[in-house]
Amino acid sequence: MRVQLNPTPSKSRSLPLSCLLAISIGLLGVHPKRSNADAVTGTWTGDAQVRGNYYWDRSTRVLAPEFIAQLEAPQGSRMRVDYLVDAITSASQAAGALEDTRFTEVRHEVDLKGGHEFIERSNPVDLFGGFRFSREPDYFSFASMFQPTIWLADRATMFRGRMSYRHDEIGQNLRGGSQQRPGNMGGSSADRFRETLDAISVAAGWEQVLTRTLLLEVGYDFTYQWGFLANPYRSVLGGQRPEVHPDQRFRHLLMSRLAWYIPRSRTSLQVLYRSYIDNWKVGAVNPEFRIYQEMSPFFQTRLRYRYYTQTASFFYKSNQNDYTFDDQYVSNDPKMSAFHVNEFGVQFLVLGSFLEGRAHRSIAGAQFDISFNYRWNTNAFGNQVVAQTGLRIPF
Amino acid sequence: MAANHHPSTTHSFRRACPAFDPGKNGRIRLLDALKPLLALVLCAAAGCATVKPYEREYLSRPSMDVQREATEAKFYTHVLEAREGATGGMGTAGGGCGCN
Repeated sequence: MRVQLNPTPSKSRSLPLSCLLAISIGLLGVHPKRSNADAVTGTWTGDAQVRGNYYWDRSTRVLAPEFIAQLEAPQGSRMRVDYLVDAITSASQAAGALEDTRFTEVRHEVDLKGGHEFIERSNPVDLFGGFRFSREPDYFSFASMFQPTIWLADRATMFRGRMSYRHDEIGQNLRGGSQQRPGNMGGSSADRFRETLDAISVAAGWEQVLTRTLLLEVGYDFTYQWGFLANPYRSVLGGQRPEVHPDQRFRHLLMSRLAWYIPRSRTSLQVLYRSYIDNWKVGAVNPEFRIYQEMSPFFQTRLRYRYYTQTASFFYKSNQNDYTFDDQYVSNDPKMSAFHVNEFGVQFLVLGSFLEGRAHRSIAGAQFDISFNYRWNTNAFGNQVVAQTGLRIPF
Repeated sequence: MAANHHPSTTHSFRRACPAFDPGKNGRIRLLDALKPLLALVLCAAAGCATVKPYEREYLSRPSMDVQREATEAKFYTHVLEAREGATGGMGTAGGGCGCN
């Protein structure tokens, strides 16, 4: 299709002609439609995943098996169900242990999501959304999310938005000791401690193909939380005052990612960066470096190094005994302190394609991954381990 | 609008902020100042590298696809929300829990 340029000199002459052409072609929708084999054959596709998640620090251990199923219709609709069980074993005061006692608690989480990609449009649009429910003996959470995406210029450019709302109901389930609430506020754990926490989050992201081997992603997240933002089990002054945080929090985050593929060595280098600030005066920066190496067509390794550092909130005191009964806000939350984390991680990914021709196509299309991350953490949580494994089988 | 045409005000305003001169020449100067930035944004938005779909073989490699790691990132994001002060930017939200 021929594009006619208006001869208005000063504006159009200043823009590079190739850019103007690219914009015009993209906006006029001359680019070809993406082919969809599913629409042609009328075949439903999908996959099933089982994952094992493990977390450890000196006072808490979490085992969280997870099952995910996805289904995609020929017309571009898709559905996803995610079920996770969190088995938390903890002797942490922050989890409700008043004495040196270890207990195990189970959390159930269900995600229901669906979406549709309108590929018939000149600029494809995807609408995706869903709900999440999470329940444990002393906590209930409901969240909803909506995520629109649009691709431009033959999918070289992507703009994505995300809006979410979360409502939490917080209870208290004390274990051990006299079953008194922190701060000796009277009553026992049988009393109905009920607080709520709400949050609205909006995010915007832009992904751009820069060259045949270079991809850039930039994003911004904003979250507004209001309600009970403390922990119902933590206290200061030797248990005489329960933790009290401000009841509003405005959180801003900027992120960027640059991914570069090196064909000669089949290596992908990625640099990620997050920058965060909120109205509690917590500021953080978080660079991360990743190297993905294809050892063979069906075996890949990933090495990552992540550094995180943050400032303390305006109301945090490193010595809990420095608080007085006149302080409006008191905190015993290690996340409110100034600290840093050095994290190293390794992941192995195996594709079942080496079985192609020798096994069922679902096995040949399978994918297995296992990862291990160690975090050297300078706050009271101490060092941490995060390990994950997963098996994905398409059908 | 009368204030904008007051000679002394207009004259000093032009001298102080030529790019925001409300006159015709001022509008052009403002656009001239924004053109390089606008060109950069529009070029990037339209993929001025003009990488055709059939040239994106390397970008479709598993290591270049962030969405492939979204399921792994979900639990990891949950850990970060429970252990770090910052939140967001991970493309996925962790579930609410009493692990705050």
